[in-house]
Amino acid sequence: MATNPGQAPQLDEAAKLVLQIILDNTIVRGANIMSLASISDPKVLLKAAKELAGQKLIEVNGELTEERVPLATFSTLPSRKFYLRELT
Amino acid sequence: MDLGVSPDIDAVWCYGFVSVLGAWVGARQIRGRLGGIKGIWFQRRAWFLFIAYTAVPIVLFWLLDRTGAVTDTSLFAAVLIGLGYERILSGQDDALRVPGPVSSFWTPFLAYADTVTRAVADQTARDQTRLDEELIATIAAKPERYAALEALALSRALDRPALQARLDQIAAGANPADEADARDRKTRLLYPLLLVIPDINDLMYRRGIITGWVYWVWARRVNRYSRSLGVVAILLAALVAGAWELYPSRNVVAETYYVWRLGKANSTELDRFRARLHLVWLMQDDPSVRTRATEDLARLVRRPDLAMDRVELALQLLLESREVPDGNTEVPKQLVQALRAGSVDVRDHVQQVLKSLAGLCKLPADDALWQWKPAEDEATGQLETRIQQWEAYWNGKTC
Repeated sequence: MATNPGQAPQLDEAAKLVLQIILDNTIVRGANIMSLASISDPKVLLKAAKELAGQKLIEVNGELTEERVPLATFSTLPSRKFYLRELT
Repeated sequence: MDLGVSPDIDAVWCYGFVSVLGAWVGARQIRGRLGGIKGIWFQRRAWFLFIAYTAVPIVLFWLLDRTGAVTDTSLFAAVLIGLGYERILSGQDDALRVPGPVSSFWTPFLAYADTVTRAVADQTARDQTRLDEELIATIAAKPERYAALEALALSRALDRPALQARLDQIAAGANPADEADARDRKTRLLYPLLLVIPDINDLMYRRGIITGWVYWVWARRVNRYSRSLGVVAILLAALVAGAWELYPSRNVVAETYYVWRLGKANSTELDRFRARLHLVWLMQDDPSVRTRATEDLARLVRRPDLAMDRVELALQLLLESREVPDGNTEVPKQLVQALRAGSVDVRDHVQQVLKSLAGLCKLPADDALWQWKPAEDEATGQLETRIQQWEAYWNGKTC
């Protein structure tokens, strides 16, 4: 689901935390996000990642499945950092 | 900031300051934009971006000097541009403004930074996948390695019975004759779960789950880093060799540089004074540089767009270069060629200098030559005749 132009996307707390970690690290693996955010259940990361990717806020390399999400790589574009920081 | 109060220093130093500060800001930009990427400085594309970031202030400094917004001998301008080129290019700086088309160059530059980030992210993801596959293959290849992995995974599992059930399910569904396939599938299940543990590769190495070779070469990427360091060492060696090669001709490089400064359109008086001092010193110190500088200065005098004060300066320098024990025999020869200058004013000045030079050398006057006054409407043939007469005059005379 893409965000309407001019409308700031609404994110839940887990998604905000995941986005914060991706912004801090520029490029980071799912497993590292889980470790940094103390997320023990991959389902939590999967839900947050799908929410962020669905709104085209992050770039994802890899599969967004429960088993493979720790292996996926997440990143943000430098030109969007300022905007994304406003969302967290 | 009023840049007019800035100390006026040699342009070499100013460009040096811009380069060093630009490199520092560039490194900060890379860290800010790509800083979270492990081993970012081992990525080729990051270096391209860094070089681009470093080159931008140098080009901007040169461009602003060309447009007359600053002089390239202004220390304050060098520092301001080196540190704040991003603000200047984006039009946020009050002290310096760039022409509109230049500031629009910044947007595609930022887009390039995004492209590099995306490429680095893709490369990082590919590297990680290769690493994962290598580690999984290594673990699944030996039953004892797999057993150690399984023990570790089960000890860290949140829901141990559920995980054990899934492992049993894989084992039950596998071909009994193909144990390796079952181990591979179970390893693929367990491996992502363990990645959550910080420094998992160290832990797997210590527990014998992966070999030392896989740990150092694949997980720690020693081969890749050593390859990158090898490239850096080769580049440094090339730099040192280049400097070594250029060192003997440093005076020639300096001469070319100071002749350029002398003729530069918007240089400051102080800069021209510096250039004059250095050229005099170079011409008096090194006979080969003296000959070369004499030719270059005479060529400079003939340059169509050269202001008369620079013509005067070049002619004064040519006369000054004779003040060495063995003189400068090239001066009259090169000055005669400078009579071919397009401007009649320049030809007139050169004619006066040639007469003065003959007087300084205590040579007899030639009435025909001494009475000649270059004119605007002088025919090419007549001018050529005068040049030949001057050549004949100086032929065989030492001065």
